[in-house]
Amino acid sequence: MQIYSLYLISRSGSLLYQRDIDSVGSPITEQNSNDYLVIASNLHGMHAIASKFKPNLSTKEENNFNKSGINMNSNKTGLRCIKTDTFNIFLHQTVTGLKIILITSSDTIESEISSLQNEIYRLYSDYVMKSPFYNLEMPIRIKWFDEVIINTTKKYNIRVNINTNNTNKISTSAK
Amino acid sequence: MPSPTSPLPSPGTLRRNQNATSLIYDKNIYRNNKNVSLSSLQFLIMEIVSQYMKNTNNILKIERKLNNLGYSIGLKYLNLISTKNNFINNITSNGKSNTSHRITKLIDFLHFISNDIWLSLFNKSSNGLEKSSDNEFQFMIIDNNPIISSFLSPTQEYNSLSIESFTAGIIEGILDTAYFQCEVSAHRVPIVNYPNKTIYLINLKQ
Repeated sequence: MQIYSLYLISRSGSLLYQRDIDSVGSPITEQNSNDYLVIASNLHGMHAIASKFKPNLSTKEENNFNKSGINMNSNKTGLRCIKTDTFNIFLHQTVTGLKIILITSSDTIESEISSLQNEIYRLYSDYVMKSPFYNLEMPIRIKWFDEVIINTTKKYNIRVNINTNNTNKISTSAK
Repeated sequence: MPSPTSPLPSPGTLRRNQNATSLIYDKNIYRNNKNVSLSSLQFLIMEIVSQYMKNTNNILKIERKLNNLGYSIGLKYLNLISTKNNFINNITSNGKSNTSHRITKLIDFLHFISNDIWLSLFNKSSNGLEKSSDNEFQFMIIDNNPIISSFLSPTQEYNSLSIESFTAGIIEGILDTAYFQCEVSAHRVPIVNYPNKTIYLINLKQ
């Protein structure tokens, strides 16, 4: 699994942060800054539209609540994942409306992705929200945030690579 | 017999009020559970810094203000920590300590700051206490990862701003009440793995 790129989008849909991560075989090429804004606002819009989609069911079934009181047929999370042959896009909306978007290789492990997304959210609330130099809804230009983001994503890239190597070894020994 | 609208409080309420105020004295001065939320502390420091930045853009002025803020804490904090420390050392003597002492030697006192006071302020010891090689009146306390500014990343515009001036102010206040007149300044010296390594430079007045 490789993580190619990270986007953070504010709740109003503006691009807060974009970073291409140095990874093996990344198909991501550098765009001009305007294109990043276009990508971000497109994903934001698609997420909003997708959250309106839900199966067309009778009212009886629609009122089918589970124990936690959430309507089972609602689509509160919106668009969560786009899968293609060459890459995957994972979107995660936090409770405060911040969107964490990861572009990864196609061989991803979803539990790893969600733990990475949670970690990025934690780093955002520590390093960005606690910075006295940062104004809300403005692009993030914080040196230490850059550094920790690069370190954590690198850690994930390496860790999962080791896992895949291990599985390869097991399969060869089985032969 | 007092009327129902008597201005004097009834004995019952008096006793109740007394209980409420004396509760705090009944508690052991050395409480084990003295945790404070780190996030709320960091948000408070952040808000102080951004308030100062609204008033002035001069980095030196902001550092001076942070230093002054810490200084007044340091003046008062030495009393508290001395009371607590002497109490801990003499728990058997009902808090009336008979071995309580004041540290009067400079080196001992600096050790006291870098260990005991660091421990009570930040719940860890500092990473070193050093003496300057070229000036005998200069000492340095080193902290690899200062807690209160651990997430306050510097920006290009305010690259040299050291938020740890606040801690430096506390040290200065403590040293001043202990009759060691000095000036303390904080300097950020980033190294690998410790981007926020800070040196507190203590300049004693000769």
